[in-house]
Amino acid sequence: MKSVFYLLNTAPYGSEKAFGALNAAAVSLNGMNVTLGLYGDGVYLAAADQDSTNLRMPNLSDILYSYGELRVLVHEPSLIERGLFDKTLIETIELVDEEDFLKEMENLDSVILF
Amino acid sequence: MQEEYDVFLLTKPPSNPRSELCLKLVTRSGNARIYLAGDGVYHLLSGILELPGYTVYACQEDLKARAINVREKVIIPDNFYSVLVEDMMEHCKRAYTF
Repeated sequence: MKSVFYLLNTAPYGSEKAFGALNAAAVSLNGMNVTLGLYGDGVYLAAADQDSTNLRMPNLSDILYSYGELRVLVHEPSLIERGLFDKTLIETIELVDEEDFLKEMENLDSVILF
Repeated sequence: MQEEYDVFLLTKPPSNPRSELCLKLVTRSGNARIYLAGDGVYHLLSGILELPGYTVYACQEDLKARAINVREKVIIPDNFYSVLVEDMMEHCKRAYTF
């Protein structure tokens, strides 16, 4: 089975990239081994309790919750740098350090950046 | 004589180079009001409130979407953009948007 690593390094809601990455990852689940890596500003997507009703935009954390089989890696140094380490995060994510994050990227068949 | 100040609208996250430039101008201004909207609200997680000398406003809808629940030392009006426009029209020496 082929494997793919989607990398997101843009904050959610401020642009469409996070929404696009989530949809691409979800579609790929059907027949591929999929990992979504949150790096840099992409780690903001890991915050729990998002509520985008008033923005009339899809709630991106709901999408993450609805695809429990999607493996989501969060780059820990980026999280700490952005003051998110003591915030409540979505339970299904995996916090990994720099070395493990890079290893994951190297081990999968392809890396797609958003 | 009405008080006047510099008004900044910041919509970029902390790591963006535009944020860096904006905060340099804010520090130089000495009498500023910063309006955080869009990804700009992430600045509330990165210590913007610790810096002295200006007032910070944030957009409620953008805070909720991004699950940011910082409430101290920041003003969160019910009608963010009306307050911003009035400030720009009535009390503004200079307006900047980043």
